[in-house]
Amino acid sequence: MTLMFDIDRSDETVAVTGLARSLASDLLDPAGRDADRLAIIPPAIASALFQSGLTAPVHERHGGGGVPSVAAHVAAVEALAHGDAAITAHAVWSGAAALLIGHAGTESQQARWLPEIAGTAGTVATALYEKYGASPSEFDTLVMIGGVTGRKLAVCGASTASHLLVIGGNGAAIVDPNTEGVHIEEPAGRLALDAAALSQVQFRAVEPLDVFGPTDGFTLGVSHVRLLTAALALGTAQRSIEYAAAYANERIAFGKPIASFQGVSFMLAEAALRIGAARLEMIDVAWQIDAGDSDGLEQATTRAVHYACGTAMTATRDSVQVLGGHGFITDHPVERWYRVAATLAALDYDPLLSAFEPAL
Amino acid sequence: MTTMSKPLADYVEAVREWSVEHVRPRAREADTLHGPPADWPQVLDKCPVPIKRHDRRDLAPVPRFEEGSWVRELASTEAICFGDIWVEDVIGSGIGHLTVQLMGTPDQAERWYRPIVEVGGQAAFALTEPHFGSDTTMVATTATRDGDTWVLNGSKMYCSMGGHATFTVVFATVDKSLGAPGIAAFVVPRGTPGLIIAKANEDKLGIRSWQTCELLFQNCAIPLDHRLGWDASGPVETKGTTRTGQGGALGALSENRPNIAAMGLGIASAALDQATTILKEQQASFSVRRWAAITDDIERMQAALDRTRRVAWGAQLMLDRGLLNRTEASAAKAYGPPTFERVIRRSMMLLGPDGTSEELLLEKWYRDVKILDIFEGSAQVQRIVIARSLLGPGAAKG
Repeated sequence: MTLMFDIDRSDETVAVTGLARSLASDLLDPAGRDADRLAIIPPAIASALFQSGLTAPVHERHGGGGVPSVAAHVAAVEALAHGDAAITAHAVWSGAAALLIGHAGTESQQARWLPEIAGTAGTVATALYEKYGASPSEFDTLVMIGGVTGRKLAVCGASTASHLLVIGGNGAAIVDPNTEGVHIEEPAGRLALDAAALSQVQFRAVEPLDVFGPTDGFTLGVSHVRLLTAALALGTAQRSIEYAAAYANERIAFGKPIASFQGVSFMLAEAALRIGAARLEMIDVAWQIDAGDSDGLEQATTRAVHYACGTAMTATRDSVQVLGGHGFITDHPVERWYRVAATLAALDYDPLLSAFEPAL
Repeated sequence: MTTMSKPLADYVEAVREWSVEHVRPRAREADTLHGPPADWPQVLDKCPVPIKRHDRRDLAPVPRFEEGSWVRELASTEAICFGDIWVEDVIGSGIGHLTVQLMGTPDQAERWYRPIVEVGGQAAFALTEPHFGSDTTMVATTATRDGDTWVLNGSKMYCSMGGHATFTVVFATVDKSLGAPGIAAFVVPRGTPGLIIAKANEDKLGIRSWQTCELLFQNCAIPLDHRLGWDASGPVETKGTTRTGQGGALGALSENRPNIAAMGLGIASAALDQATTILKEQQASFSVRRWAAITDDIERMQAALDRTRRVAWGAQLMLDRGLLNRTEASAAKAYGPPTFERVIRRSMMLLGPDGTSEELLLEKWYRDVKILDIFEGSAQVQRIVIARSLLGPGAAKG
């Protein structure tokens, strides 16, 4: 895999992306089709991902394997998603609490929660997304005296977690899912990502076990978690155009490989351009988080995620188009990536950032 | 241009109401079953006005309207698919008979075209093979003369209704050394020995309930007069010209192209309608700024859909007026589908994470819609047709 604008060659990024790439090609890619069809992830794969330390990074002092920079982390997540986005999404969303508590928690809060998170995968589920692409500062869910109230969508692993980390507009809280006022629905089937076990959770005046205020650390942590969706989308998009490119070199029409027709090759070239630009935007936001700069971060994150997801929807759609009828049947994985990209995008796609444009 | 006469408007409204009430509630089931609901004829029976049906010969024919039959077809196809696109596969007649009309002798048209149009039946179309789609000169299925028969050998894929159609029009080469001029079309009735359904239905992204067959021809013998343009004694001059199989195939596809746009208009309008209804219910929860952006988006989508409808109608108005519309038919096919994808996608995005849930049909329509820019001539093929009409035959192919 050669990435356009693969500019971050720090030792750390090279090391974690190298590990991620081998996990992606050895484990995730071969398991992707069944994970999609059966909506389950083989325990051995989930375990290998968790053990890699890439999906729920926790500092050594709290019993983890260490915390990479945000830039290295999103590069690794993109590389994992290149293997399979649904399995990766499940792993990184299950581990999102490690990120948020790592950024936003006081030393004693970290000591309270992180060892447990470092020890067992998915022990604390993270409830982040709300409707209609709203940014966190607009969230309806609030952490108030008298409890946490709100409705969260697409919560990964809510029904199996021992605690829920709820991200509200004014801070976050950890609650016990068995407390009164918490209602967790069964994971609902959707266009894709069923393996990530996404469900809706309602909170009504739920007494929190711990609270994280709206500090700079909170803003950094929330952006870090949201940025994972950009990484998942870009890994999917990159994989999809690579697959379509390989197909275009083999498929013959009008006496030549279809790669030799500009109607095909330019479509993929434009997808590659967008993916490159989206990757740079994602890295820029990651660097801003790494620098601890929360100024304008939420809007920058919203833009980066929006552009990455829009790019992924177009790139996967064009990949199906390159394969033609073969792209429409499940013998080839591009139809899955088409579904994955739109499902990811719908999580955090702020319509205010773009108006509808017809294709022609 | 897309304003309908009162009788057609009333007819279309009746079809649309029926489709929402009776077709749409069965959409999820059809998708899950990878086939139509078992009681699909009863679903069709509930339609209060006559629609095209290949399964019932005892019902009143589809009424005639001043707009002409091709435009009426667009309007009714859109109304039918507004409920859901699954039903199109069980009511549609296919396009094989259109090939018969274009390439057949008068006797053949009487035998295989008129009955499909006037009384019903399904006429499948088998052109694509595993190794080609757009480049129709690559037909590898062979037709070999053996006494009073043609013997077909080869395999075909992506044949809609190929398994259960009354007959299938099969494209095969009689002489590979001739290239495109060697491709001829053959009518193979259902049940002909040697016609084998290798796969009844592909496992697909969308339109899962449509029967998309892989057909195998193994020494499949048919009478000489089943070759289009031939009778039992050999070739018959038709309308002064004998058309090649490739030309006939492309002609049949061309006439149907605006109908593909009409299908997409149906499901994209349905997606926008569903999203709009849900968003309006939630209006109170949006800031003024967000609601203004949503309203603006809905208007943009509506206008974009109206534009695609004008293009499709423009193409078929020409056909109804006896004008050649090859370029315009391609325009309708090229113009609508990528925008339909965007309308459905945007409708899902406006709803947020709920938009991709299986509790709504938007996710299904987003899967269904993708084929419209691929089958019966991909977006890329339509651009070749349009580019050639503008730039001449030298226009690049890709």
